[in-house]
Amino acid sequence: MGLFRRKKAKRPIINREQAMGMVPVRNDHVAEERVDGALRLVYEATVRPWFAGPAEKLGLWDGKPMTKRVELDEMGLFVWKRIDGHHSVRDIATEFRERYGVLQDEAELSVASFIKMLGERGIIGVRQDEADKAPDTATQDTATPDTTTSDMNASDSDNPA
Amino acid sequence: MTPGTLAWNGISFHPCGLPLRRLDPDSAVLGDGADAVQLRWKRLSGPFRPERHLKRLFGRGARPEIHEGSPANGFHCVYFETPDLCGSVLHHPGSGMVVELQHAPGALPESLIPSIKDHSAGDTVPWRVFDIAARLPARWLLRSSAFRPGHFKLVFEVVGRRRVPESPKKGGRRPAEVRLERFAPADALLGKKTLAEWASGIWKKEPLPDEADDDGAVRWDVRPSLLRRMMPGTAFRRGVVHLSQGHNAILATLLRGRKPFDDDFSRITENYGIVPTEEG
Repeated sequence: MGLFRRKKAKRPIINREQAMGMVPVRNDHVAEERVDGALRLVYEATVRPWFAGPAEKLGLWDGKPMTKRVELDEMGLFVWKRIDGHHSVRDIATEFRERYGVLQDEAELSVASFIKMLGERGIIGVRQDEADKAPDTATQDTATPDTTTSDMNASDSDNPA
Repeated sequence: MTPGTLAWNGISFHPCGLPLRRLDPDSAVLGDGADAVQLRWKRLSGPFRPERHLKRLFGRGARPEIHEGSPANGFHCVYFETPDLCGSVLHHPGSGMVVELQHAPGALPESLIPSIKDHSAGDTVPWRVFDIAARLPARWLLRSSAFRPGHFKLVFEVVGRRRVPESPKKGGRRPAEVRLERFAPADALLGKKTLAEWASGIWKKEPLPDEADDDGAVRWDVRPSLLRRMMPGTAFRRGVVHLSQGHNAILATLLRGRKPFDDDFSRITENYGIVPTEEG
């Protein structure tokens, strides 16, 4: 099966600091619409659905990209307003923390996962801020140290619990 | 406890500015990459010799250099060192608590080891992580925890006579359970809803009241009939949901069990709250 496995495109590996320094940029083709006070983002789906082939043959689909909508809640709107090509993810997370009184880590995770969701849908892109550009981005910090492990159950206890 | 102190499953320590990157019931990782420090701890009964523990830790690999350290907070301390790995083994002779630290050379903040304290032998055990703090009677043991942005949850089980919390579920009577939850940001979550309306959407199976009490908290306390108590399953259900004063967070304490646990529940709810963090 290895022969037929699809080769995965190499993705740049960046560490957490570099990711937080990235600047999200809006896709110009994304439209906004207001519905009952809520904001909806209207975007063209970047993926070709599995039923595209049969649907085209049957004349049910003309091959145009599908239009999709995503509705933002209050916090999503707060982040969306700050995606302007100038604020980095860290800047947005800091403003989010100040506005909502959550922890910095919590704000960073929330904002980063929301931005990732928008990116997966093609609503935004991210670019690396010139100041944060590292000479070699193909390095990755590991989350855990190179540690030696042993079972503490097997530690030096003559009368184990 | 000073702001930023982490109290978790029997011990407490100050991370000294290192970010918490992983938290398991009996271990924690502070910091990233080469600066990371790993802590593991366990309460043992009987004698403990750090040298034999280190012998098992390293096996037939590199022999570490071992130095005796000065005692701190009741712990006897032994340091070990290899060219690429350093660490310490702390043992509290009174409680049997053993704490092991591993880190790269030079990565350990000086004040981390002196900040380690043992709480495992007390009547109550403090819990303090991120911005939540609680104190529970020692018979409540941690079953699970989850820290997602906006929603922290700690689940405790009472130590029973017939089961230990780690044992797999085999049906039958479930042990009593306490859940501590924290939701944030409260204003965005509530929107135009009242606390009672919002809570009824979150805990759909709980018998929540339609309105909050005079102090703004939503409380429920279901005490079933004697016949119902004799039947299998959970009998008593109680809970408190309230907005944390001065913080944009919703705190909830829920209890389920075959006994009312009146004293425990009131002690847990009194001591559960939001605490200032170093960044705040």
